[in-house]
Formats: sequence, C-alpha cells, structure tokens
Amino acid sequence: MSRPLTRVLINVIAADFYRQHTGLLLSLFILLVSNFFYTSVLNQTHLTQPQIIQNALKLVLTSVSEPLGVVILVGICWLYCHKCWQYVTGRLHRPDVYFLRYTATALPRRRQHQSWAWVQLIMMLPLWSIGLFASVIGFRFGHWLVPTLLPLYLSGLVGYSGWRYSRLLDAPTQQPSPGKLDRFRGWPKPFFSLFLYELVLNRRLSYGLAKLASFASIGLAYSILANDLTGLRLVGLLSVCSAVSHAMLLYQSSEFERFYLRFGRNLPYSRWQVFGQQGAQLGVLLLPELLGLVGVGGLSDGLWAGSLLLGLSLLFRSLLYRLGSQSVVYLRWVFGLFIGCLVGLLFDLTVWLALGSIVIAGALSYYYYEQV
Amino acid sequence: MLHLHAFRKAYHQHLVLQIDAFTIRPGVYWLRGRNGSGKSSLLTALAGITAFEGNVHLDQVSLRQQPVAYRRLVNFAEAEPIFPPFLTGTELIQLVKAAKQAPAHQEVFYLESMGMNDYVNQPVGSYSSGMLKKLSLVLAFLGQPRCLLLDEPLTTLEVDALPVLYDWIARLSQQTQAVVLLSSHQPLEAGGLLTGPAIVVAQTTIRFTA
Repeated sequence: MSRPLTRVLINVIAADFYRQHTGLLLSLFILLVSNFFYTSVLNQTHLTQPQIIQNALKLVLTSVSEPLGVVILVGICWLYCHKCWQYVTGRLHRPDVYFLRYTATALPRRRQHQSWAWVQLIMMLPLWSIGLFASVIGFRFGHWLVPTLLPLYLSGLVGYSGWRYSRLLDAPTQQPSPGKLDRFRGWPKPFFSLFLYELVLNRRLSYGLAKLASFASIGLAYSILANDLTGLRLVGLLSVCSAVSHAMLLYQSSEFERFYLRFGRNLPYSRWQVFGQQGAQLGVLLLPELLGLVGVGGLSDGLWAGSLLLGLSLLFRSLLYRLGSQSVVYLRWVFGLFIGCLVGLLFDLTVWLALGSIVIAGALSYYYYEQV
Repeated sequence: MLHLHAFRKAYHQHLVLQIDAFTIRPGVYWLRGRNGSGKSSLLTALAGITAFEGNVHLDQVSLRQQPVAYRRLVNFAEAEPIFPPFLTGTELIQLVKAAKQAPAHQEVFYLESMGMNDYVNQPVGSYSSGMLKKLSLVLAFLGQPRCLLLDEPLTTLEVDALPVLYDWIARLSQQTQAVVLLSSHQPLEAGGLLTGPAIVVAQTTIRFTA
C-alpha cells in the first residue's frame, strides 16, 4: 500500500470512483442499514429478546443459509464488481491518466497486479463490510459453508480485478468504435442535447439506474399513498420522488459540462438562453415521467406536478453552479430540499412549490452562471 | 481596442493577476510569461470563460454589461482543447457557426488551407492532439471576431501548418483591425506578424516590453 504506484492509483482511481458514485453508494448504504444489517419489525412485544434479534437478522441470515439468498448476495457482489470494471475501463481512457500507460506498465507485472488489487479492495469496501458482517452473523448462528466461502469469493474478485486492470493498462489503446459513434451521425445536436447523447452513448447504466429509481419510487409512493392522498398532493409527491431520483444524473450533467463543454462558455448565449437550454435538456430527460404525471393526475394537476418536477430538477442543477464538484454538499442540499418539499406538500402547497422552485432556479442560474 | 479595468483574478485566496488599467490597441501581440505566471488565466478570463473581478471592454462592448455581444466578438482557442468525443468536427463547426452567427461556408477556406477535409467528418474522439488543435483553431476563426485569443497555438501543430496559421492571423488582423493575443513559450518565427511589443505576464500583472 505504501508503494508509489498504489498510492497514485488509489488517489486517481479509487478516490474518483467514490466521488463519482456518491449517490449510488449512499442509496445502497441507506438500503442496507435499514434492511440488511438490522430489520426493525413492529409489534414484537410477545417475543423474547433472542427471538427479536433473530427476526431482525433474518435477511442477513437468509443470505448465508438459503440458496436464493446466497445467489442474490453473490449476484450483488458480482454486479458491483462489474460496475467497478466498467468504471475503471472508462477512466483509463481519460486523457489525465494516460501517463499510467507509459509509467506504471514499466513495473513488473506482479507489482502492477498487487497495486491494482489494492485499488479494487478499496473500491469494494462496501462489499467487504456486507460480506464480513454476513460471515460473522452466519458463524454465530451455526452456518459454516457460505460464511467461510464468502470472504474467499470476495478475495477472488479482488485478485481477478487486479489482474484484469493490469492487463487493461498494458493493452494497446483502442480507438472508439465507429459503429457506436456513427449511430447518431447526421442527427441534430443542439448545445442542450449534448449531455443526452453522452447518456445514450456512454452512461447507459447511470441513466438506467436513475430511471429505475424514479419509476420504483413513483410506483411505491403511488401504491402506498394513493388511498390517503388525492389530486395535486399525490402527483406532487410523485414529482418530488422522481426529481430526487435524477439528482445524481444532474450532478453528472454538471461534471460533463465542466469538463467537455468548457468551450461553450465562450459562445454568445445569454444567461436566460442557458437556463432555457437546461429546461429543454431536462424536458427531454424527464419526458416519460412528465407524461406519466399527466396520465395519473389529469391535465391540470399533471401540468402543475410536471412543473414541480422540472422546477425542482432545475433547482438541483442550478445549485451546482454554486457548489461545483462538492457532491456530498450537493446531496445534503438535495436531501434538505426533499424534506422541505414533503413538508410543503403536507400543507397542500404544490403550486407554490412549483412556482417557487422555478423562480429560485432561474435566479441561481442567472446569478451564478457568470460567477463560475 | 481591448481595455481592462480594475481586473483581478484569484484562485481562492491565491492572487494570480491584478491589473488596474491596461489598454491593448488593434494588432497582433505575443503574450509571454513563465509557467504558472497567469497567461492562460488571463486569456480564459478575457474570453468570458472564467470569473474575475473588474471589467473588460472590447471597443465599447462590456463583458459585464453586454456578455452576449462581447462573446460574439471575442473568440478563443484553448491550449489543450477538449470536446465531447462523439461529436464530429463538422458538427462542432456547425454548432459554433450558429452561435457566433458566422457567414455561410466560412469554414471551407479554413478546412481546405489546413488540409482537414479528410477527417473533419470523423468523431473528434478519433483525432490526434494535433488534429484537435487544428479544429480548435478553425473554431476560433469562425464568425466575425474583433478579438482573438490563442493559448499556445503552436504546440502539437505540425511544421507545415504554422505558415497557414500565421496567414490566417495576418488576414484577420488586416481585414478587421482585430486585437490578437498569442501566448507562446517559443519565439514566434513569423517576424512580420507581430505588430506591437510583446506583453509580459509576471509578478501578478502585465506590461508591454520596452
């Protein structure tokens, strides 16, 4: 770990991995803390303390004792590693790490492999915490096979990933596949649409996860609250859930603009044009949800809810002009605004929230766009 | 004429440039300075890309009060240009032409003289650094700029392309009385191109050489 290559790789690759995936990891963490590690079950006053503990640990015990649970746990680990491989492959094609191709590759293969294995180990820390917790609980409750194999499986993934990355760095660089890039040749590409093309070409997983989270949260909120909330408050709540689901995609949009569209700041677009471009980009990005809101709430309520969805998303995006690349601070703001919106919805302030978010987003964009 | 007034550029608490008043008349100027002296910071601020304190006027057009009109007149080419890799050179040219309200077919002359027609329809992700540099230079000449800011225009450019670039600059300077600032660590070989004294960036300010 003290080797220079390991230190550089951890700073450049592993740290950036956590920066880029803060939202995903935070969601995973909340999901796990609330369910996997300890599931709170209501109305257990008739049970003894050991029985309550056993109930609370049912999910983690299932993952080391039942075949389906084991498959799901192993599958999640594999998917997480797949995400790591995808990220590192993409990262190694960025110009700022090209120096690794003619420096790190001069080291013996074994040293490269070890350094990359450290990187993977660090990127897999969330999996290690889950895996070791599952193993300890498994041993404690008398399960031996899976708890013994789980750390070996994770070690195998670390070793394989290290080997894979060192091979990847050593392989000659590939030109972008013409077929992939040719797919949209000749399509109009106005300035606002460039991030949408980037999503389709290079960030399909992020896009898919955001849409999955958006539809899942909408479906969940609708199925639970459809009988208690009606009209504008219900569709307003669905809008807020959808906007929050897209928060990390909006962060990626900001990073894309900062890195690839720097030249655009020399183009003669007014601040209002820039704001309009943001609106157009989000309008296309959120089109399925906007149509869904009109479908669920009817034209009038659906349009107000759609305005809230667009306004809140624009507000998240405009915040990033002020916050820059501080993803953790940004997520705190998103969480705070989410809570604020929920309180607003309780008081039936959907229309005011929609108007307020658009006005504040416009003001932030107008003021801070020139300050960057 | 480019006029800087109460110009101040800092990164967090680190002061990079402080210029009370400075006027640059139309002509071609070599912007010199050591690594880290603030040349690129000056150029990106003048291009309206990065924030700064104070104001800049090009003729009567203020970057603060008329940012759109200002950016239509001031063009910029980065030292290390980066563009979305999926865009083709042609698509980028069309995007910039539309924004800068460039005359129809203006790019044809630049593409032909720089020998770029063979690859301009390819995605920029497949370009070498020299090809990217040429493309960024073409983009900087589109429209009707009255001020052209070229950051390290000579780096990564092949030897045969240098006279072509010098010719473009000379034509622009003669035809439009533009202000052209070229930052470079190497002395510019085209001796007749520079029309004014060099501008030195040092000790957080700028000055003309004697």
